[in-house]
Amino acid sequence: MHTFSVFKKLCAMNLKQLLVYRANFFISVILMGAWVGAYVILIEVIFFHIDSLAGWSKGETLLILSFYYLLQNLSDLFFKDNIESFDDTVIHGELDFLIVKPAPTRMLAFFWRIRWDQVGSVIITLFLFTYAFQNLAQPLSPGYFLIGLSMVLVSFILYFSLLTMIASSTFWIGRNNSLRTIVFSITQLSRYPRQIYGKIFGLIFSSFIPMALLATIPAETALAQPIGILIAFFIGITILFSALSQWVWLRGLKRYSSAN
Amino acid sequence: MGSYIKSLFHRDYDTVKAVHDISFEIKQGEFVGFVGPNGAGKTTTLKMLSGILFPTSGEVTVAGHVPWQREPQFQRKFSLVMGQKNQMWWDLPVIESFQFNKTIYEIPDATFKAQKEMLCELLDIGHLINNPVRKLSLGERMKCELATALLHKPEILFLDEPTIGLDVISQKRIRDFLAEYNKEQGATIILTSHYMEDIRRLCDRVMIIDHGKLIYDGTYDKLIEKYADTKMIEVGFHEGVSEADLKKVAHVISYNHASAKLSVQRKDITKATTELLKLPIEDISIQEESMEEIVREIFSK
Repeated sequence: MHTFSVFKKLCAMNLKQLLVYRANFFISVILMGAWVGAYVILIEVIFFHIDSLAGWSKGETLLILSFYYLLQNLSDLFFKDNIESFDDTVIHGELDFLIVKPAPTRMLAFFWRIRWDQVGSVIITLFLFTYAFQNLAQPLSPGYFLIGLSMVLVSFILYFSLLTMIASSTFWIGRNNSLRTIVFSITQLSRYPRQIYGKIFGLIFSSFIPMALLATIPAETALAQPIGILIAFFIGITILFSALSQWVWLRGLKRYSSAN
Repeated sequence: MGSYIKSLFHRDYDTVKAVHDISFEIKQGEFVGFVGPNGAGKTTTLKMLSGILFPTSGEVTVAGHVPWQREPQFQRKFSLVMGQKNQMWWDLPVIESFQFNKTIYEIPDATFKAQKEMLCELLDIGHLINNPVRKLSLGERMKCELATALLHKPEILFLDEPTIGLDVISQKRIRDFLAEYNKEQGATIILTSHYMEDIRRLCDRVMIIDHGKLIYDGTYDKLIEKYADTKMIEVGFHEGVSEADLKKVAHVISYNHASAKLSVQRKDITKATTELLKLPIEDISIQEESMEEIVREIFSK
């Protein structure tokens, strides 16, 4: 309960900060619009030449892209900035004041700066969803779509766990921007259907580095595809990565050496 | 450049013990000053006491808790203020940082209100708390930092250089506040400072640390007794006195035609004063050596 109150307070404090610098909000809407627009054009070009991508139609592929951007929007909104600057936070000893507070340090460290200006990006993603729905051969069942959305929450936890685990490596290696850049690049894999990666890469990107599942599983769930076992597996690896990430964090925190 | 490239493949490491073999106990309500040169281990000790750092070995108990276990019950009992770091929300008014700490420390409404009013009055910041932190001067910000840190009525206060960079008046205000807070609230305060005046005016007990080791632990008076074997005499003249005449009486630290600063062995002070009074002296004052001088003396030995 206390953790939730602190999280709510962080949201409120960051919202007040946004109102101080509101131009950021409008810039992010324009940038996100251009970014999403570019990818929609890419999908249009691909489907101008082919009818399906690894068994996925244009509308279904756009649905994966919509879920991918929704996940990205949520991570940009809540924690990505904090993860990107985490090595600086550790190297400059800025974790000191978070460690001494009676609230979970991991939450304070990774949700300290909440980018409410990214809400504009969510609005763009909602337009993308609408465009995807229009391109589907059959309308989506609202119930399945809601289950698909709830799967985005699982993806969010999994993605957060993976990124915070990588960010925690800074306790051992100092600056980790190269590693972080690789992980952000690998994230791009989740914007395409998992089936395009074949057997070996499919296995790697579905279990060891489960990026291929992040958007595909919510999309497949929303499309009412029979993937019950895969959903169970997806929730299972999310719990596993979440526990592993927390363990790495706690081990890392013991190595924190602050700065003067 | 070559050594940098070589270090990509091979590095030699030296282990530096930031704090080594330190043992002490601090009573509730004590005001303790940590003194030492840069890199002595003062801040490292504070960071271990507050649970930021995890020591490689040894035991620490603060208010019945092991600090690095980072239990919320322990974290509610203390506050850490660092003069060189800001922990308030930079773009928002100070009151927002107050509110944030109210949530984090789960401070009841009544306690928050009373504590806020008391701190605003003692620190004279009532007119500042609706201003954005970034608009405050260094001195104002430090007062607000202290208020933010004390809202939850901590039993223990760790202060790392709280007066660093402040002008003399701001330093004095902070000092007066800390003395009063310690007296009124009975809080245990552990302070590190480079300004010996902070230590002299505030601390019942002084701990001198060097190279991670505790080399003195006692009262300020005993420190003077033990290490300050000289006193300083300042004299003003109403007519010219030669430096050679003064040298016959004491060691001359500084001299000009109108005044001089002399250093005299503690045991010779009466004799030296008697001799000086035979000269055309307008005024004379006898002072203890400055704390800086004593500490410099200790570290030079």
